Amino acid sequence: MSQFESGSGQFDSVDEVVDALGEQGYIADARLATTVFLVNRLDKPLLIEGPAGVGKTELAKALAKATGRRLLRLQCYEGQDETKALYEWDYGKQLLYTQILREKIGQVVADSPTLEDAVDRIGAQESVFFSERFLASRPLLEAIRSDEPVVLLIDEVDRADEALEAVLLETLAEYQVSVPEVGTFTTDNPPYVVLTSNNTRDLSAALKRRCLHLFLDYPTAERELEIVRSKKTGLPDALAEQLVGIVRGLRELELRKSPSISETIDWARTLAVLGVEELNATVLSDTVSVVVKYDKDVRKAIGALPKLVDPNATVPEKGHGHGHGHGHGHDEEPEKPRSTSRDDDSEDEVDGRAIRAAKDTPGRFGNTYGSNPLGGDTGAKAVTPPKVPADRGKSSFGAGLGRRRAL
Amino acid sequence: MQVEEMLPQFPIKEFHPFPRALMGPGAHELIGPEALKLGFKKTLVMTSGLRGSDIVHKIVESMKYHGLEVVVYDKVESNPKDYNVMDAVGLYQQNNCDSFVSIGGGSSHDACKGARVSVAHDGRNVNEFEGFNKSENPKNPPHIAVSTTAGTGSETSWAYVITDTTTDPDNPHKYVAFDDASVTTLAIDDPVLYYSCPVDYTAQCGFDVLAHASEPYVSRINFDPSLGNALHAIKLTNQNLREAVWNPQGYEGRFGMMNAQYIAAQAFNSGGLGIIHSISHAVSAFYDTHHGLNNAVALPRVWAFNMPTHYKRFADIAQAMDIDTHGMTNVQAAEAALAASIRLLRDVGIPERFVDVKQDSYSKNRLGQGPTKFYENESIIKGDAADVDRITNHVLGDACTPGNPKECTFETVRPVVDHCMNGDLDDLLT
Repeated sequence: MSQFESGSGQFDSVDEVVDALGEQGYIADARLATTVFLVNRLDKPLLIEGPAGVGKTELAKALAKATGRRLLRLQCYEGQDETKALYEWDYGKQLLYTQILREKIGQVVADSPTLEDAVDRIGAQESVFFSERFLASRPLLEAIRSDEPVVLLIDEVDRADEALEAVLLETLAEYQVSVPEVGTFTTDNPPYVVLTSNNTRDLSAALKRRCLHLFLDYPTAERELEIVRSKKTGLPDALAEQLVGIVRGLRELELRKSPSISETIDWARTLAVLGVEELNATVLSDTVSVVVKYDKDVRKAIGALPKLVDPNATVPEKGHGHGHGHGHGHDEEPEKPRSTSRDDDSEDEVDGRAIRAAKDTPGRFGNTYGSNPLGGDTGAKAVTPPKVPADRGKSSFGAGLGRRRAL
Repeated sequence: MQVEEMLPQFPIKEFHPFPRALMGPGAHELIGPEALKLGFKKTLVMTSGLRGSDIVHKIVESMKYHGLEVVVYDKVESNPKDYNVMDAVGLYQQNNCDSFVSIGGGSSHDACKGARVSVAHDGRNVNEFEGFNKSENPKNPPHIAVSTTAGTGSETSWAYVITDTTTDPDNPHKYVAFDDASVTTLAIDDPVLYYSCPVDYTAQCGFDVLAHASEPYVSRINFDPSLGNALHAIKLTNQNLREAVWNPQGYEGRFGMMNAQYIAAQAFNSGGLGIIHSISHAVSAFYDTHHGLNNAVALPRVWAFNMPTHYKRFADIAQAMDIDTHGMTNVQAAEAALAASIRLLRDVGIPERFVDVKQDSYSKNRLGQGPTKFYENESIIKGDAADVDRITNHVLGDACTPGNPKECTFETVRPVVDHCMNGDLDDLLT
């Protein structure tokens, strides 16, 4: 890429972009390469949105390397103010200079008759202390002031507050920064600006309007495999292909945090280091925490892995006390639920009818309600209810029905 | 006559404390935060499906929104069967769940309570826990119960009722298990969820409340701490049931019944039950009919049967049912209470005897199309001598029977069952 050695060249075609990024180990598909080509030609900022770990930041780095430009990175976070993004006055340095120059300052104001006059004289020298010498450039100003053209990466812009977004807008619209005490900085070599966002909040329409927009999703299986290959993980090709398929399966599980491309690469490296020769559910379960980082996700992933490794696998059922007693001893339709017979086989011989008949015995719960205060664990002693002659049974109900009772 | 036989039958009473409960409109929306507070991670939701309402969907989505994983078992049948419970236990263990939520009426809650007890014992058959406090492991998974009917009280009681269809498939057995371990961790009663409860179910559930409230008031087991609950629940039912049935979109009736069912369940928790429930369980065991309907049919007969033992108590019930008992004797007041209960039954349109209960008597009736072969052959309620005999035997073995104020033997109970089957309610009116 000879035209980039000066850092000022331009790409001639989309294919050239693919090649240039490819040389830096970044596998770009046509859509992405086209967008980068346009950034290169139109001098517009590029806003890349997408889930974490799909290579948004990596693209900026690769672009910087491919074009031979310096990379300046502004990492956004909540509560960040413009002094961290644009510039601030280097107060410590200013103080240091005034200390060192104390004598000189003393001379300047030595013969001033009044205090007011002394202040005026110092004021006249003010510009000495508010000059570029004492200006601490932050990435945005640095990108404008740089003699060389740069790539400015504004990372995770969605984490920044609206206030900073407004500052960004001003900068990106004009590629200039105003410092009241010094003047306005402009640039002849506009930087390539790449903004990335994870969509934790909606960016303002104004910002989106000023940028070329690219939604970067997880790559296709082929491209991901290509990426894994290009990283020289040491994992055999066949296994890499299988692994990519498994990772894609994991991404469909609605995890709290899906595995990113970089985590796929880490996983491939991990498996290569372990010298794995075939991917089975056991070895994957042991290493799954490389790609899945939340406790709940891990449990989900481990549950799904056997099926992902081999869709026809029969997952061994966890034992649950009555696994084998399916529908014996009584005829039910096939879709009828399992029988609830007891676990040990000896129980199967017990005559259910006898057990059932015993349950119609009066008084079998004894004379306590709740736990037996006297019987301990033995349960309540059954009581024999008194015998009642049949005729008294009749008179207990029904004898006086419908007739006016004596009051 | 031995000395211990002369002592009172239940010398030591037990009072069963409440689970925590959230009651009122909108309470069901708190399920997510409450579940998180209880440490739920992966929850098995047990429900009868409540098809046609979006209640299950809404609650499950709300739980997912709060970050819980949810597995749904929506095949709980009315009068939950033992295989429902064991299927749910299997699903729970396969998915490594750690908590339960039940959404529905008594069937969902009872199946869920049974499943909890079974899970706590490593999946032992739920049928082994019939009776009183049979569970040996108090560490069972947490359970939030969300009620969609105003009747069961199961979300706050220590009882659950399961139908054993597998021990003897030709002779199913509906048993009660009273177990402190089965008390839910949190009950949610939200009148908003009652609005889609069909009219017939609302009426029948209301009679479940009346049975829950009146039985402990006269039972052998009751004692002062639960009496106030019983009376107030009767009062609330009498005031609100007609409104809830015939103005189902009105808030007053629904809210009143919500409170009534909760208080009534608290009453029978400590006061015990009687043979309204025993008869009701027996009929459900053989015909798979609705528990509330069975209670409604049995209630006037059992009141008449028990009345001679407790005229004064029934006079109190009459006052609770807004009867002006001034100048009446206790006997007159008790009979007025019986008349009022029959009036209430007719007002809300419930069949008056079991042989009148047909396929079209209430919605989703499964007479003759029940879940197992046994129920398919029981398409009409026969009410003949053999039927009455087997139901009477079932009643005598029921865990609710010892609490009945009047001594229950085959000879004394059989006429009551016979009358429930075939008798005319007008016989009871003087």
